[in-house]
Amino acid sequence: MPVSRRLYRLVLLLYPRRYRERFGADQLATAVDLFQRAAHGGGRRGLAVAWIKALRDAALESGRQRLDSYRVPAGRDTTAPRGEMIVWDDFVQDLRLTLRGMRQQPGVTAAVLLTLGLGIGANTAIFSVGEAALLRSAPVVAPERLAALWTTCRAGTPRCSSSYPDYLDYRDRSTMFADIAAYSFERASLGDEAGARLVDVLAATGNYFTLLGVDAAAGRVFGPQDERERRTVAVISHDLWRDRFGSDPNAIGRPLRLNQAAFEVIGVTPEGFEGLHVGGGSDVYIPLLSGPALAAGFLTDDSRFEIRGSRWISQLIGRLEPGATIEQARAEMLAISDQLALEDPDARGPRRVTVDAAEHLILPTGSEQELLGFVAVLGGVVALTLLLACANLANLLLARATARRREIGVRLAMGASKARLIRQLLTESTLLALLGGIAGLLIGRWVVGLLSGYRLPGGVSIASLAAALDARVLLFTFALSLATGLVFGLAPALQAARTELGTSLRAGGRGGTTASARTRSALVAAQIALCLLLVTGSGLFLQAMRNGLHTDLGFPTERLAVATLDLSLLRYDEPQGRVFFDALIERLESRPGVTAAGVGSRAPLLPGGAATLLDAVDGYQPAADEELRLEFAFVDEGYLRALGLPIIDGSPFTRAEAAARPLIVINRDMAERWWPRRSAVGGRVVFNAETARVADVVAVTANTKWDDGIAADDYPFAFMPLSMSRGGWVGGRIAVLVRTRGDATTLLPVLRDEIHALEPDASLIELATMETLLADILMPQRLGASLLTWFGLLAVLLAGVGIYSVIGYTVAQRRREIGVRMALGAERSRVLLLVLRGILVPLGIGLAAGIAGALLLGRTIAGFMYGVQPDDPATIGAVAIGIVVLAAVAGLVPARRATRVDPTVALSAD
Amino acid sequence: MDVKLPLKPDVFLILMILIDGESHGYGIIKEAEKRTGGELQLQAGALYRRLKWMLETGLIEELDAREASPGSDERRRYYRIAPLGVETVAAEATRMAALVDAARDRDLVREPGR
Repeated sequence: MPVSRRLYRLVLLLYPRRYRERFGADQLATAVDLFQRAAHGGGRRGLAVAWIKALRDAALESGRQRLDSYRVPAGRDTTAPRGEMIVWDDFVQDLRLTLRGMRQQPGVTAAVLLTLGLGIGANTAIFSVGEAALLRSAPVVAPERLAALWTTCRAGTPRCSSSYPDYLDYRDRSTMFADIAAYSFERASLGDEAGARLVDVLAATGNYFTLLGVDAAAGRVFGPQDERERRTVAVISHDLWRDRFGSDPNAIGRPLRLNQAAFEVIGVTPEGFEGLHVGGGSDVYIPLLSGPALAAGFLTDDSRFEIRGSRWISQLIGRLEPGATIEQARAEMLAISDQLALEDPDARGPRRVTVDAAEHLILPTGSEQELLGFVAVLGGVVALTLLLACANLANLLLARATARRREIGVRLAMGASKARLIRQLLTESTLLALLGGIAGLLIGRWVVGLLSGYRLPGGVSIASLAAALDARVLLFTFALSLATGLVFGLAPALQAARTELGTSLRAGGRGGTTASARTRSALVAAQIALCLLLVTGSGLFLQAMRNGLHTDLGFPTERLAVATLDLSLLRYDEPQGRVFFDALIERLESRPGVTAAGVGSRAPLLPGGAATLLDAVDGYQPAADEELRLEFAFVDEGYLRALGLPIIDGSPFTRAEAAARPLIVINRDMAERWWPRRSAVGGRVVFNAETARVADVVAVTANTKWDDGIAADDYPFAFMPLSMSRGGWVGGRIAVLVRTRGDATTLLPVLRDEIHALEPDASLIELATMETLLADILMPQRLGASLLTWFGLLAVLLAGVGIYSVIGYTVAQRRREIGVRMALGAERSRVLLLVLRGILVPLGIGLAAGIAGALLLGRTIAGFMYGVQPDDPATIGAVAIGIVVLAAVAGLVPARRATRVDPTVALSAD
Repeated sequence: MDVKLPLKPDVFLILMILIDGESHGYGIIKEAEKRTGGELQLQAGALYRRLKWMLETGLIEELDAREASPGSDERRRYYRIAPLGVETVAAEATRMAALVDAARDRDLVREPGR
């Protein structure tokens, strides 16, 4: 008997805790009595029989007791102790019921969770990346009081480098800014070993760190004193300290070789400080005035600090005086620069100061618009996808609620309280949203990981953003899905709870109230419309992006290899450079398969642009506000041949010709504009009327696009011989172009070897085929296009699933009606037609709204974008037809099944 | 919670048993079996479901645990009919009597022995 006693105690665990506390002991005693009697009367067999009965009893009764817990008696409740225990028991109960429900309908549950997860995850990822790119602040003191300053370019663009004398004047004369610091981005090779790596160096004025309020994590940062004394000290980044010195505190005081110049490490920046720009920070910080020690830049002496016209300082950063506003600072800077222009007109070209708030990390110059547009578009598409996901979720929940009306009705009849029921449904919706949120989190992280390999417009790599999933966005999307779950899961259930039991049972669980059926129809229509909108939007943006992808650069991009190197780091001067490159070209051209090779100050698609404003063009009268602007590169004789740009007039210069007089090669647009009635060859352009710096046109090329595929058509690009560059071309990056007969990829190692054969210490900055470079540049567009395509497909899929399931469900609910009709002798085809008619309304409304919306959206977007056809009847039409077909199939499949069933079965089945 | 007639048969029987005196669970089960000639064999869970309901509706009351038998260690709860229970079972009996009378008038009742 002790065994039976112990076993029965376990069996009692099936009962709710409340019940156990009250009756457990007594019931145990009674049961044991029964066992004893059975054993006494019938021996082992009797006991076994008694146990079977007891088990069956326990199973049934415990279930009953648990169900009973739904009831909250109106009268005195002698059995239930009040307090926390009730709520916990109920909650666990709800959870179990919910999980059981999910297990019973795995397909629906999976669909819901996947839908939610994708919507939440995608949104979170895109907005997190956007936030990291656009809204992050540097870990400095009061970033909202910072402003970034630039001097306008000579050619007119607003954000270009400044000169040192100008900087000093801005700083000294300004009252709105408490202080202004200046810095320049440099590169240097670090260390003594051969093939030393290139690091990013920031040469900054002594007040840089104090202005930002950044203290060293180890050692100290440099200050005005260090700058004044021109000390060759360096502050290294936290990452460099970790990678190069193993975070050794003794690194402070150690020497650091930059471009073979000796610097001393005096401190380490704090972890997480990556400067003020998007896309990561510098590895080494040195005082600005110590920069010449690097011998970087095109002047190897101090003159760049004195010549006002020499604009090489990349960025100025100012901290506003307490109480001053950005607008005031902007106005003051304008006045100061105007004053300077009057005082010192030697610096040619307009000099105005652009002031931007620098609360967030500064974007690569000129890319803000594009980046914003990119994020906005993607964000819009992804948000639409989320809406679709919610609509899908709503549909699924509504369909399920209808199916459960009977279950709810029965439960109410058995005494369950409405409050209890609502709590259970709440638990269910919350659980779904929670699981969906978790799925979203996982998917979001996966998406961000996927994106890390790509770059945003402007060249910033997504990986460098270190975009973490933004908690705010995650919470928002989670809240949205929760709200959807509650509204569409709870509301219809509440409605069902209100109806009379009789009606719902009698109705045999038919399609639900008119209200809920109407809601579902509305949702289907909404999904159809959203789907059409999404497809249209995506299609248009895809179009715009594809326009960029299929760029014709003007010259053949295959079979062309490009290398860029920086000889200034090795202190080459111009004659030495010329010797080096002449030797290089000779060796390259002797290689089999090479058809042409050349050098220039710039390679297509790579940075290094230079632009200028002409004073005049002989024989051409410019309009009142017209600027004679052109971008240019200095090239040797072989460059144009290697480039393969078609020459449509004249012939390119030879070295002898270039040595004799200044020459220029312009493009077709310039030729047609400046000399419309005659050949441009022989025409003269004037760089500087005062000093009589001129050049004669010797050839005209076809138009090209040099920066990226989406630049405007009008891109004035000119070529001038190296000899015209006044020694400058050796001081920066130099590009080597090699055109080959075969695959350019095989030429890359050859190119590298030849360069190193002539100069073993040369550091190659780029070594790639033109095709690779093009693909790289276009990566953001490609990324955008891929994402749009995938999201578009995803949206269509989601919408399709939603439409299919709801229509299918609605029709299946009409089973009984179909059965009746068939029993009454209706023809199958007529019945099917009837079913189709029923779907017609939401389908029609959805299509109408969707197409109208799509057309409107198209017109709006086309206003923003360039070269995009707003009405794309082919795409819209195809999707619309697809939806109609889908809806028809969705309705017909269950309808046909219903017509096949024996009418009596359909009528009697509930 | 108001008790509505008709009473469930089990409940009626338990009340009848308790009118004769207070009893514990096992006792009720044994007596029920005896009075129905073995027809009604209540299991522990089923019994306590009834008892719980009857407690909630005030038809019966429970007494403090008492010794099962003098000197025994085991304590069992005893249940006793409440005044409301007496009233209810009387009302139910009266209702059933009226039904039986009506049936008798139509010669439906088979008297024992006939």
